[in-house]
Amino acid sequence: MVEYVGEHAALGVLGELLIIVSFGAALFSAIAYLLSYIRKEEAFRQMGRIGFWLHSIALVGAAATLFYLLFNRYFEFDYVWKHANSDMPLRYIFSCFWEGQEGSFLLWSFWHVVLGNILLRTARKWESLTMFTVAIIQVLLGSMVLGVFIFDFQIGSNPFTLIRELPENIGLPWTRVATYLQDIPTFQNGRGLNPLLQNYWMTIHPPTLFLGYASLVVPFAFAVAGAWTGELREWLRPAIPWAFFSVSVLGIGILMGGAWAYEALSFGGFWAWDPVENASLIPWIMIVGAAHVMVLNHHKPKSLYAALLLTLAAYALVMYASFLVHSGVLGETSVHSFTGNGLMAQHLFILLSITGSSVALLLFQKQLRLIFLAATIFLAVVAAFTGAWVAIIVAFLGMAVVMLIIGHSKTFPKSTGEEPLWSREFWLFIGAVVLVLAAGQIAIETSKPIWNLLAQPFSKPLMSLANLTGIDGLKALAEGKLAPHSERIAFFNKWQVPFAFVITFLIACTQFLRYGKGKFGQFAKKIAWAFGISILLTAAAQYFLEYSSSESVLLILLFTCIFAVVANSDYLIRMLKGKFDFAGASVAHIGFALVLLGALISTSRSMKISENGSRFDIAQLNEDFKNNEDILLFKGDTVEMGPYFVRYHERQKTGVNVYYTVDYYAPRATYYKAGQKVISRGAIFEALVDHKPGPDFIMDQKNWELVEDPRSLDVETITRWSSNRPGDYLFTLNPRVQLNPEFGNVAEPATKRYLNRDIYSHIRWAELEEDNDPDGFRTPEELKLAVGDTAFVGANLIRLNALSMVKPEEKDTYRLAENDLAVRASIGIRNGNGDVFEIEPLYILRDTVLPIPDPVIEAETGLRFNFEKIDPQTGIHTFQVSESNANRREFIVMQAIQFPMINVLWIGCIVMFLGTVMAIRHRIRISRKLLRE
Amino acid sequence: MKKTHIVAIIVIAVAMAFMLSSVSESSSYADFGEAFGNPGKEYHVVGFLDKSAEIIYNPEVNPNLTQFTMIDKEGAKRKVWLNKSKPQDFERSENVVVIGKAEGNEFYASEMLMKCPSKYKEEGKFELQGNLRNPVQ
Repeated sequence: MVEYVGEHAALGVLGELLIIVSFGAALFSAIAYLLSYIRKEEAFRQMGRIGFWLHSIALVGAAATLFYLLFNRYFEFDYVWKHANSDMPLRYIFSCFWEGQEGSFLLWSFWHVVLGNILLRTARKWESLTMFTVAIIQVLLGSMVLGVFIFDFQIGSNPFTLIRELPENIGLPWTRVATYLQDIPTFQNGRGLNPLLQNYWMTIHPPTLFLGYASLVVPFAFAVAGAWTGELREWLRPAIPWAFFSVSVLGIGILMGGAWAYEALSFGGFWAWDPVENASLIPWIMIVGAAHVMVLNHHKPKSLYAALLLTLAAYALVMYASFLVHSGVLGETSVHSFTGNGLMAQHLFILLSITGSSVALLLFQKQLRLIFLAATIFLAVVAAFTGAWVAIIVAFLGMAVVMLIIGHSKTFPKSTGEEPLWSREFWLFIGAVVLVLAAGQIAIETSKPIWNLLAQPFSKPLMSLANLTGIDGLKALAEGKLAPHSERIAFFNKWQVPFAFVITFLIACTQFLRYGKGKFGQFAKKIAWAFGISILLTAAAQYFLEYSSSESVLLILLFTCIFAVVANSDYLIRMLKGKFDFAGASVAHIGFALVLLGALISTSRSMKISENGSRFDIAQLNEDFKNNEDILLFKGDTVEMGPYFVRYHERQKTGVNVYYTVDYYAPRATYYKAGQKVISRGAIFEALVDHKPGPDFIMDQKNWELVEDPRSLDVETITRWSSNRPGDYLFTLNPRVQLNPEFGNVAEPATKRYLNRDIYSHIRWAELEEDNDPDGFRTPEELKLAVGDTAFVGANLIRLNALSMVKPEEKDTYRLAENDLAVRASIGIRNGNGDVFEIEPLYILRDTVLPIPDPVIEAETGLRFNFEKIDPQTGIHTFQVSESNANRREFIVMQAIQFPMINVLWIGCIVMFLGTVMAIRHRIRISRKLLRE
Repeated sequence: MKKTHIVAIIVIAVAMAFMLSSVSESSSYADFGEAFGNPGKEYHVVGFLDKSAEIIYNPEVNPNLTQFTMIDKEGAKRKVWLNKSKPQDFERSENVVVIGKAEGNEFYASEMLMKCPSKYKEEGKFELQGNLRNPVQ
């Protein structure tokens, strides 16, 4: 045995031990709770509780141990080395904890522990089965951090592994060196945290999101218990407040992710329909649907099956989200999905067991459950023997759907009575259906990599179907090459906007409908007021935000969002008369509609103000090249940018951040007096009359006369024509680039916030490395030019005009020797201002054999030319050209976007959160009251 | 017909519509061979940056245009024009996916996804240096 110096292996052993204890205790607790349900004995229940408490202590202990390792930066541990480093501020240690998969599973389990302990005290008669469910889930999640090998099969990955114990390092000589921690420099510092995660949102967004995910386990557990015991309605009462808790926390968690993206990522927005974002949105939409159907059933005995199905599905979708994000299956489709860690099979097993159990529960009858179980076992055996796992999984899913349909028709015989059309329950149900469709659309589009995998065994029939129908997508699917829509955001919006307007319209109306029978007349009378006001407000908004009639889809959504806000406010004031206790739903709905309204206005009316025309029109290169979104700013220049003038002022390095100071000025209209001279379109003009210029010079030309002979003018005093000039200083933005040699540098945006709009800007490109040789020149570029060819070096356009031999009588002027052979290149240079220069570098062969470098510098442009090689055969000659740093001006490439009314969205978030909290409080009260009766 | 039936029919129709649109409006992954075989059709091409070739980005001329050479998974090399500013740290990228169309001998990408290695500090580089190579028994 080697006595390692400075290693804290004992802590790692403690951590591993705690994880194993927590896993074992969860398993024990699950079994005990199950027995307590079957045998109805209090002793088993006590054992279940003790098991769960032990599990809680061990799990919290394991998490605390991992924190301790991270706080002390014990880099001998793989997890610490990978996620922390020594120069990191303390506050980011939390982000390190959940950056990796193991840590995020611990965080998730930790929330289950917290919620489980609350459930344990409050579930009463439901305790056995709900706690059994929670404990089983803890066993499944715990297996992800076990890090145990059974033969070659790895179960879970453990955050307490020492680097020298990693499979790839076992047996290497250094692992037997006692002082390896001191001897190997790599151990002195860890890799550190991805710079994108070094943001305060990253300390609160993941815990909130995971609390949201974790909270879904409670309604799930109640649904399991309800379906299991056959008390199909009774579970709703205790589950409803929890369902709204999930709606609230998961919703806020998702929106925090949006806020983080808006502040720290530079894709220019708060939502990009990225697979990782979608994965969290899908279960949220489902639980929103589930919670509403649960309330419905609480009032009228309808839609019971939907309540069960949606609650179970919401949890299965949480597991699906985890599968998508953690298993690595998303591969190339997401920019920020995690890479898989070889636990795909285990992730899949968890997902399928949750799905399978949910299906079994929804069959209701023992006989059907047995058939389902037998079929599942049969399929598993077939898969194990044939190895055709994918085909069998598809068969299993198909079988599950068929069984669900049979189960439903057997237990819920066709209802005789219909819901009245103008009743609240009917429209609540419709709302839930629309939510499921919306979630389904997102799920189907996001799951394309899964379709590719599932289609594999069926590639032949799919191919013939593709040939038959002529749909290219089917062919791609058959080949497993289906790719996400290339204009993803537009594609999702196309589908989701109509769903959104149906939902917001229902949000506006449904409060005014009553449960049971209702008359359209009464309803219409009540809502007419809000409807009228909303029409007026929409018309005003259309006018001010300049929506054209061709944007009818957006206009409808604008109206329905406004209608939802107005109608719910109206309901709050007129119907509820401001009664606080019942106001939760209305307030939450107002908040939700404001979120959508803010998202709609800020994205549909966002303006890339950095969009500019450039000297070189790229549309001529390719007709699809329409993008001109980024602007080039030379240091010191003041440039018109959208509704502002901007000036890139200075660069400042503070720690790992490079800040770029960009000042913004208001435009002020220019005023030209008669006789004033300007440059426009390469010529000089003189003003004929005093005038205020229009937006375009061509339209203004009647006011100007061309100066035919500008030679006598003092060119320095003549300005370029512009309808505006920089006026008052407005504000300064400091977008920055965070330097990070380990992960790469990242640009972080800076935003000026006004009440009614944000100006958001980020650096797209900046030179971060000094490029300077001893003479002050940059790394030379090699140009291969034939006579007549052009190329760009920096802003200069270079053209090889001609080649000619240096004649013997010219040799003296070039100080060449008698036997030297020289060729002269005539090169034309046009600089950024359009000024033309010429230079003649020589290709010299001393004594006709030895090439001699002869660099020449063009003083005005600061370009240094070296004629490297002459090739008479191809006619393509080689030049080395480098730019002088003294002549070069520093610049940045920046993007700036104006987001109008984005504050409506953030206000909506807060209102929605408050509303859901009020609703939860109200639901808990009802629940308690019912319990007392 | 009952209301529930109408609802069910609408639901099925909408669900079918978005499944169809998801499949029929999707782009597909391809290599350069396929993309250049169907010029003008949009593809996602997966590959990596040819680091030996030059990346041309001339913001003074146009800040929204980058040109580079990419090697696809089959090893085919093509020149790519990208209608975007040059991504920060492009040289260090591990994998790139370009979305666009082939035309002539070049590929015109309107969008690019770039996967940077999550770690630049190489893993497994835990090596002893110099005379410390002899393990202590």
